[in-house]
Amino acid sequence: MKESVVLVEGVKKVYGSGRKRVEALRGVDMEVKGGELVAIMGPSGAGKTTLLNIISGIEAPTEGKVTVRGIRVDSLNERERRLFRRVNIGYVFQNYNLIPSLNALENVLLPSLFSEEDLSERAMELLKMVGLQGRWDHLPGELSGGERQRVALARALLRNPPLILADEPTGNIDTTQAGKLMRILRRIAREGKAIIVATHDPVVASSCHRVLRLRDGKMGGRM
Amino acid sequence: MVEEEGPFTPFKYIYANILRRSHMSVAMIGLLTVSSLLLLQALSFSFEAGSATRPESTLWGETPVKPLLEEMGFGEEISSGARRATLGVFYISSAVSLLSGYILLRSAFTISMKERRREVELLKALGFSRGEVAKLLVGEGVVLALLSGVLALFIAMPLFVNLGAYMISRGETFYTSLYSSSS
Ligand SMILES: Nc1ncnc2c1ncn2[C@@H]1O[C@H](COP(=O)(O)OP(=O)(O)OP(=O)(O)O)[C@@H](O)[C@H]1O
Ligand SMILES: [Mg+2]
Repeated sequence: MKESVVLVEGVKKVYGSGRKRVEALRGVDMEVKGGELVAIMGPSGAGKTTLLNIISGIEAPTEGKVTVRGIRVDSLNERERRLFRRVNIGYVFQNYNLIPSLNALENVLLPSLFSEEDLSERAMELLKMVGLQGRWDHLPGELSGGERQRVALARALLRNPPLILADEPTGNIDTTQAGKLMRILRRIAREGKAIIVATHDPVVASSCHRVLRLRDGKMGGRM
Repeated sequence: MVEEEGPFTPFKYIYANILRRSHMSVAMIGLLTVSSLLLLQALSFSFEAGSATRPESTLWGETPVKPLLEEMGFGEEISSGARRATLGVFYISSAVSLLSGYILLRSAFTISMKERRREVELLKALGFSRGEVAKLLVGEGVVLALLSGVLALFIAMPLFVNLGAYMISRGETFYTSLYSSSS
């Protein structure tokens, strides 16, 4: 039996109140183990980003439990969540991932900014792993959408976290580029990491080990 | 350009942001320089106001202010009431200069903050604390302010030459002349 990396139990998330009240998640349960590449598939507004943000501790759930490697993320305070995130999570965001004034290598090194550690060699290795070794000194504006997402993935891997979250990583890129990215993700999973990919693309979902369907803030059901 | 050697430090981050966002940096330096010059102008006005009763020693040399005062009849023997009124006018114009400088600065910062809200959000999502994010932003602001200060000094250099001569001619220091001009 593989160890459980992520355990989500009865998670609810409510935004706003009164007429602006939105129930983004209405009781979500899921588990992901080390070495698993899991897709969360659902239409726009289903709550995919909300769920990933709660697992990573960027947001707190309104109700329910989130356990990542034995840590109850929902009961941590903001400072603890921040430190938890640094060590345990690599996040590829849906929209704004790279800082435009930093080149690829610097963007990959971003998580090490305030540590004295020199991780540039590891960063170069990661860029090589995502097929961008020759492009380390290019600015995000000089890279294609797919290349930018691969830089973001390399950054997510810098601190070697056990859990990778990728929110719509193939959102604005073509199928060839998407295939490339998914191959890299499968390789990383084989090394034992747990990976959760949020997507609305069935092709991307089909290249994952397991697909969880999210709709109107609830898991399961037909699609 | 930013070296690829060694760890990626906050200093390199600030350096990259200033160099590679040059349009933003130039705009900020421009605004800060204008503001510094306005401040210097305001200061010099108060000096000039202080010397209004002694037309032989002025800060700027020949500025429109001195002939204007003489034309208005404020010579050697102006009354203390008129003198105070003149001083009042100059203090108000100084205050306006300072205020407009302040407003310029504030709007410049707001624009750059809006442009960079996403950057701050990303840094926080990556696990940086408010303090760390603030260090990066404030650090950049300090570097830009220093550059602007130097630039403003160079532009205002002729003024300072006059200032030195002025103070020597009155046998006063900066502070005593500030004091006497406001008394
Ligand atoms: N900060 C917020 N304040 C209020 N409502 C929010 C907030 N964030 C998300 N929501 C709402 O929660 C619901 C789920 O949003 P979420 O971003 O998780 O969807 P998603 O599945 O990621 O959609 P997409 O595929 O478009 O990215 C939506 O109805 C959204 O409007
Ligand atoms: Mg989303």
